[in-house]
Amino acid sequence: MNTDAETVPKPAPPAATTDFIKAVRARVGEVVVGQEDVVERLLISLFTGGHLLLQGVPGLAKTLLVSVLSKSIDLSFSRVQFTVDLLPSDILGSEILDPRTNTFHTRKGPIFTNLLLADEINRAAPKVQSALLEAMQERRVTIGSETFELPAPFLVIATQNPIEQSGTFELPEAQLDRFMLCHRLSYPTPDEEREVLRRNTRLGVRRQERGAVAKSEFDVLSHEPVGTISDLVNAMEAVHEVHVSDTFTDHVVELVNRSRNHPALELGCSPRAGIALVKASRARALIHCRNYVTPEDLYCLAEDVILHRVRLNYEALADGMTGPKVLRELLGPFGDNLRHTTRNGTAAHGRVS
Amino acid sequence: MNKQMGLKSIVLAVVASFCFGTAPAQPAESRTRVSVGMIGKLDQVLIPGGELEAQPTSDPLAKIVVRVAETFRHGDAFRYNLEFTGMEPGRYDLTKSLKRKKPDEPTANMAPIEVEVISALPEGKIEPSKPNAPMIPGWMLYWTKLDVLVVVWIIGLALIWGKSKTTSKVAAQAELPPQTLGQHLKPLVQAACDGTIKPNQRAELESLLIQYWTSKLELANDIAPGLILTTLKNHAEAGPLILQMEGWLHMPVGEGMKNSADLATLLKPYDSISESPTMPSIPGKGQA
Repeated sequence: MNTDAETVPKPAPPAATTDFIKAVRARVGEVVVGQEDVVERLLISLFTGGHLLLQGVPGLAKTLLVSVLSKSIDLSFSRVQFTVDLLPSDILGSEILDPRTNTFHTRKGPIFTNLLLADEINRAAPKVQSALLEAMQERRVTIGSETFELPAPFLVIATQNPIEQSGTFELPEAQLDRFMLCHRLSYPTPDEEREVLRRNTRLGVRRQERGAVAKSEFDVLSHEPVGTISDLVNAMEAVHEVHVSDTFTDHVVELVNRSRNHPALELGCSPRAGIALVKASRARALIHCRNYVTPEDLYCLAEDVILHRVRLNYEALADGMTGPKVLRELLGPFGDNLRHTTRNGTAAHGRVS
Repeated sequence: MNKQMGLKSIVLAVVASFCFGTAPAQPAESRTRVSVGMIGKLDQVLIPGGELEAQPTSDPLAKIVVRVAETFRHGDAFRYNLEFTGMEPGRYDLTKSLKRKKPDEPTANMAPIEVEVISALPEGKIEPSKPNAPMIPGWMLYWTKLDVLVVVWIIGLALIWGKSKTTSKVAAQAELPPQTLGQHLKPLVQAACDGTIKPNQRAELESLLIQYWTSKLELANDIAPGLILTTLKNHAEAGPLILQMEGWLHMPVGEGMKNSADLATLLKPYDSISESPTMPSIPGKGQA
C-alpha cells in the first residue's frame, strides 16, 4: 500500500495556535453555554476569512457569541440591524458636506470593522444586501470617488430568522454562495438550558447613576482578550499548513459532482462550494489539533457548506424531500455504479443484518 | 365619347336579348305534367265565375294537394296562379280541389283543368335502385386500406418493442454494474490488501467502508451526518479500521505509512464479504 509520494510531511499544528484556540473557546464558554458547533463554525470562518450565515430563531445568543468572540481576540465589532428602509450608505458610509469648510468628507460606515454582525440580513432591500455582499467579496468599499480597503481580518456574520418570512427579501442563490458556511442553530439541550438559567439567576443588577438596571450576559463579558490579532494571523497561516490528501480531494470532488447530478436538485454546488469545503475542513482540522483533514471534517461541514448552495426541484419538494435527506444521499456510497443505483432509489442504503 | 357609350348599350342589349329574350316558352304539356312529389305551377288560368279558393283537406293520404298562389280580377271572372303537388301517379282535375269563396255559387259549370302526375320509377317499382357497384377494386377501399395500415402499424410496433427489449437486455447483461455494497467493496479490499489499489480507488474504498459500517450500525437515519464518523471511530469494531484508514489515506507521508501492514490485517475479513444486498456480518466478527 502506497501513499501519495509527492506529499511533503508537515509539522503538527503549532502549540501556540492550539493554545490560542483552546483559550478562545474557553473564554466563549464562560459566557455562552453550549453552542460548541457555532463557536467552531465562527472560528472556522475567522481562520479562513469566509463569511458565515447563521439561521436560527431569536434568542439563541447569536449576538452575544459574536460579541464575546470579538472581545476575546481584540477585534473590532459592529452590529447592524437590517430593516427594510436601510440604505447602502447606512452600512458602507457616505460623503458629508462640512458647512464650515464647504468640503465633503467621508464618513465610514459600520462595515469598517473586523467582525460585522448583520442581524436579519433578509429584512433589508436587495440593493442593501447586494452592497454588503459585494463588499464581502471584494473586501473594499467605494464611497463617492474614493475606494477604501476593509480592515483585515474582515468577517461578516449574518443572521436569518427561518420562521418569520413576511416582509423579507430572500437572498438569491448567487448571494448565498458568497457565504462560506450557513449554520442552522438549534435549541440548547435541557442540561445546557438549565445552565443558562442558573447563570442568568446569578447576574443581579448593575447600578447606574442613581438607578440600576438588570445585568445581562453582555455585562459579564471580560474585556481582557485572550489572544491578539497576531495569534489570529498565525492561526490563519497554520490553516494553510494543514495537509489535504488526494483521497480527501476525491471525496470533495465526488460530493460536489453528485450534487450537480442528483435528481432532486435543481441547482447543484458551484466550484466555490468545493473550495469552501476544503478550506473549512482544514480549519476544522486545526481546531481539532490535527495537521491533516479527514472525512470526518467533510461529514461535519457538508451540511453547512452545501445545503444553502443547492436548491430542491419542484418534484422533490412535492415528494416531501428535504435538504438534509438529499445530503444523506449525497454522502452515501462512493463510486459511479452505486451512485446510479442511489439515483434510481434502489439498494443504496441496504441495511446490514 | 357619346358614340362609344351608344355602341356599348347596343352590344349589351343584344347580349341581354340573346340570354333572356330568346329563351323558349315552357310548353303547356310540361306545365301540367310533373313527377310525384314535385310542385307543378299553372299561371294565369282564367276561370269564369266568382272567386275560387283551395278546398281544405285533412286527409293525410290525399293524392294531390292544390294551392291558390295568387288571384287576379279579370272583368267578371278571375285569373289564378295555381300550384299542385301530386302524391301518386295519375291524372287529376284541379277544379275538384277548388271551391267558390261564396258557397251559394255553383262549381259545376267550370271547365276541368287536367294535370298528370307521373312516376320517375319504372312501372311497379316503388323503391329507388341501389347505387351502382364501385368501379375501384375492393382492396383500394378506404376501410380496407385503414385496416391494413392498422395491422402494419401494430406489427411494426411489436417488432420495435421486441427489438428494444432484447437490446436493452443484452446491454444490461453486458454492462451490468455491481449493484450491492458487497460487490463494490470486495475487489477494492482485495486490491488494497494486495497493495495494487489505484490512487483514485482509495476514496471509493474508504467511502464504501464508512457506508458499510453506517448501514451495519443503522446510523444512516438516526444521527446527523456530522456525528456518523465520530460514532464509527468510537465503535469497538469499526473504530480501528476507520482510524487506520484515516492514517493510511489522509495523514502526511511518514505518519500514516507505519501501520499499513496492520491495515491489511484489518481489511482481510472484508475480503469475504457477502455480495447480497443485505450483507451478513463479517465472518469471524460479532454482530453489531
